[in-house]
Amino acid sequence: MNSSRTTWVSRIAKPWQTKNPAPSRYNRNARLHVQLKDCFTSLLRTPPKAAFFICALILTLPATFAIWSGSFASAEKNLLQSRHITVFLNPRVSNTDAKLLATNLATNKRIIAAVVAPLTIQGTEISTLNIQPSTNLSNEDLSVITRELNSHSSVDFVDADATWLQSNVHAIETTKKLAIAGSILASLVAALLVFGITRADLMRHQAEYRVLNQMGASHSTVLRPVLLRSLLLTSFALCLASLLAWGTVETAAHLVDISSYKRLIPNSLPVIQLLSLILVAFISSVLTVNLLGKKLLNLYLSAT
Amino acid sequence: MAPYSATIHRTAVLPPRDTGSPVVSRENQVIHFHKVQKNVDGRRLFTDLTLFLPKTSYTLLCGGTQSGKTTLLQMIMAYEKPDQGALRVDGIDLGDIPASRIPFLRRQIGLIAHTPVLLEDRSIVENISVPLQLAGFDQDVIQKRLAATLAQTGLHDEQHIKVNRLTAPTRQLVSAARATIHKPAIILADEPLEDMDAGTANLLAGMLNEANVAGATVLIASQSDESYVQRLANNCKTLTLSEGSIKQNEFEQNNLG
Repeated sequence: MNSSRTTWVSRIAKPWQTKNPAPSRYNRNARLHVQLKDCFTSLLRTPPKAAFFICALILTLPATFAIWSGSFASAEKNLLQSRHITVFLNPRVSNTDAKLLATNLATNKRIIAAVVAPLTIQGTEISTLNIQPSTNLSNEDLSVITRELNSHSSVDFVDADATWLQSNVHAIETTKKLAIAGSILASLVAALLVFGITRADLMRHQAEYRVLNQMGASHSTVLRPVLLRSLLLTSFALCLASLLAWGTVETAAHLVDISSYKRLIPNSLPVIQLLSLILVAFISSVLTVNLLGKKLLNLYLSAT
Repeated sequence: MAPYSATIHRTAVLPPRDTGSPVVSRENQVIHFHKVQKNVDGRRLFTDLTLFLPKTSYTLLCGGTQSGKTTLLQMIMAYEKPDQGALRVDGIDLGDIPASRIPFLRRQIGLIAHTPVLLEDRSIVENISVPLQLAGFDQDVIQKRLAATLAQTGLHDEQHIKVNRLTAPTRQLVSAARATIHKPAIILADEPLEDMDAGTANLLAGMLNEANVAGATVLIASQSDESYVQRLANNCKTLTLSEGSIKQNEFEQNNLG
């Protein structure tokens, strides 16, 4: 049985306790907001201290990992888009020949298939041509195109510095996969933790359930407040988790010097992504509590 | 005061089930043990126990230690099932009652246990109001009932005190208030007046008497009838549970006669 604890939260709950002395969370005919208010009061009166913060911290992990994996995905895309092939023309080539070469490159089927950005000609005296390869073009294909361009009489040399960029892309891709794996793992841990907190909540109130059972409370009557309490607790934890995740991402962006990658890696939080993430985490937590918690409670009540 | 039958919430009413067990005047019966046998821990507790309590009856069940009084009350609450024989409570055969129907049965019964089991970290008013909440009453009705019960028990000034701070007699009083506030069809009490001061015992006995007058069937289990006969109502019948059966069953005798 719970021992009464006078804490700052119980002092906050005092007005509700005096205004609404009856435990209406067990009244199935009471309005939902009345039941929720009663559960809220109950939570304030006997707050799950450590569990609440652990829950929030654990929920932070999948959120952070997911945000990071999103950041790495956009970095990978940006890196691939930043690849350029610079064709340095022979100084003896006239502008007419250079334009002819550009037209040939623009109509070359291999180049058209590989290139997404239009061919750009730099300078009034044409000296360089820039080609942006497609993001799905591999290093090998890029080498073939480079060799073809090098063999052309009008071309002095070709600078295809995309190889190291692609190596970076591989590193980023691996990091992204790690972040996704971490996100899934942390989500499982978070789901288990929510389940554990619900279970602990059940055990904490088992004397109360025995009394209620004696007075004719059905399983669903006992279960409803537990689920509502878990719902409220998860909501609070998610709010805290989103704040912590935001803080972690922002702090990491400032701690690690990414000034040279600013164009590539976004260091601010995508709000829509975070909101959708919180929604998914919330729904999964509720489902976890509903499916596992309900089963556990039914087993417990049947056993007693 | 509203009649008892009218105040039982609709969800608390169970349709009677016909299971073929012997029935004596079904309209009048509330509790009916018919040739019930029960073994507890390898010991035969009841041998052909037959007991019939009509509606609005007021019964004091006496018996020595280990005579099976508490088990009998537990069987009425559907915590225990008879090994043999039939047990019907308000027309429901408890021998094969589904688990899902037991809560509805218990909502029709008010139990005053020997050692009150209360919600320790809750106030008096919260404890007393639980049966009303479980029955699904409106908040207005709950507040009115609470006010009336608190006035009757004299607990109005202490209503927000947590029950873990109360003395044993006051806890028993809270238990009695909780057992009677929703006006159940049956009130079971296990040694309710034991270790009580005279004032509180009179108050509690008065509550039981009043509940009986209003239409509840009251069954009190006690080791001796000495402390009760002075306080309980005149229409209270005394039965003795000994060696696994009822030695004196006035109701059954009257009924058979």
